[in-house]
Amino acid sequence: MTEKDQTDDNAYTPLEYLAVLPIDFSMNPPEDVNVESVCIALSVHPDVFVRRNAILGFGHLARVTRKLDEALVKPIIEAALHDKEPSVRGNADAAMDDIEHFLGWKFKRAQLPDMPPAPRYIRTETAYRVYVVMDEESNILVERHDLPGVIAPSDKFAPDPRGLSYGYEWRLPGFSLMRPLSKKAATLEALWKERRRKVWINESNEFDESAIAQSLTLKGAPDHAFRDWLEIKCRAYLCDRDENVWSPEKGIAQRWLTAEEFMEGFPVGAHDRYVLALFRNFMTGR
Amino acid sequence: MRTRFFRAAMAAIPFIFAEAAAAQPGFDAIERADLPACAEGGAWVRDAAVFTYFKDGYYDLDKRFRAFSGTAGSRISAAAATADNEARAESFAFLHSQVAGLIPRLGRLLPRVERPLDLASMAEQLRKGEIRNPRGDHHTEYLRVAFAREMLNAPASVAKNPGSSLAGFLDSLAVVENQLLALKNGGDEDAEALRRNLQGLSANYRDGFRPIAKHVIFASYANSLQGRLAFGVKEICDAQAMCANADADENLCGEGGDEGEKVGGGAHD
Repeated sequence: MTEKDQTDDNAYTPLEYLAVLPIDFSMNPPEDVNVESVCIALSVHPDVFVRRNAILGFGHLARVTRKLDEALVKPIIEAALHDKEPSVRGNADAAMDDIEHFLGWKFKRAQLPDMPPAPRYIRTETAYRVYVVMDEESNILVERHDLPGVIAPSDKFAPDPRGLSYGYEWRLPGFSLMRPLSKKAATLEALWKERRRKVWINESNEFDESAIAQSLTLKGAPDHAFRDWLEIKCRAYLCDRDENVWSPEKGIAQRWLTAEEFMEGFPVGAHDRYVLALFRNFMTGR
Repeated sequence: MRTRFFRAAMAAIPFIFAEAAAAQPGFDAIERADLPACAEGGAWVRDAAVFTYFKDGYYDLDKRFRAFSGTAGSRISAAAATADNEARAESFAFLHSQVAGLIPRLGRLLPRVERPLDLASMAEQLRKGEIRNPRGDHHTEYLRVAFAREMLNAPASVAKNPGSSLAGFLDSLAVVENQLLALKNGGDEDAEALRRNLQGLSANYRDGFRPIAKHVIFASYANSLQGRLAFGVKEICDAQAMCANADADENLCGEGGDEGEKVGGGAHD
């Protein structure tokens, strides 16, 4: 595979794959690929997600390989600090942190422009229910397409049917609220409602909040498009692991992750991490 | 107005509670009784079986806490000294099961506490001196809310600041549970720090939680325990009845409802 093949952005290259590519390569650089060149090529891509991940890729490369061409890369990252998209500017700032730490470079750290104000009104296109299902030891249930031996990130995983995360990312149990509920979704909803009649109602079982977020992915969701605003109605349900309140579909792998693994150690969708952060905030900040 | 269901439930009370009094401890009879918490203004709380329930609940917790705290120090030292990783993990797993078992027992005295995750939220309520009203339908939650509020009102002779003392106990319990869970799973927690936290937990129990709980259950003041709890449950029920009214004062009753609070990207239409 040539460098051109790696970065050739044509009608046959899914945008989602391009967005994943710099992260994939920079975290696990293949021996026969010039990952720095890939990131350089994609750092000027018109799509914001591709561009911002390419910039972040420089930070990963600095950490993993401890080697970057300063003359080529430094001006790109400094320019990205003035990108019109706030998320690209944020990633440039994060990449600078990594590169300063691991390679000792000094950047022109311009003051980041203020973030645009939050819109006063947001029209959400669809709503999803997402459950933080926890076992007796507060491990969190996650799932994704079962592909033993394939290391994430990769585009070989089937997409998240909720369209909230990349296919290779582990995700929380969830479903669309705009469509008839599946049998197991209806069962989990009923269990959650019934918890109020239990002797041991939990403080943590009370988590029932709603977040407004923007769609990040292109594939998987029938009810929303890329960058649509979504309502994520999130709940926690505490169970015993043996209860099996959310059994896996055929071809789906499940795991129980600790909170640390969920937030850092494993690839987990950004929206799902946001849901757990809301849960933690709810539990400690009330 | 009594419903047919309630008449049947009330008729069953003497039998159910008699069973509770006979069994030592007999938590199931009260916990599994199908009682509408606010029926008759919570008159069911005046039954002597309610006192027995809290007394047994306290002794059950106390016995297990002492069994844990009395031996945990030496077990931790022994586990930390062993070179056999499997044996060490097993020792920490045993200690973790002991401390995790304390939490639902503590939850007989405090509302909505069954798991480690529940401790932080309850500690916060105790620290602020504001135990939230029952969130579920179960009558035992009403009892525990009333009991927790009684503990917050313990006199200065028992505890200078009951809320902080109780919260300190819950905080240290959560810390020790979390450390033991990490050690059980092969984490690199510092055994010396765990030993120190264990001492803190024992002190917080001995000087904070225990005297307050004992005072509320056993000291004869103002009324019997059941009488005081019945008053507390009635207060909750009266407030709920008032807030069920469509014209309820939002300042007193909050926004209520079952819908989640909106967070994230601001208002939406």
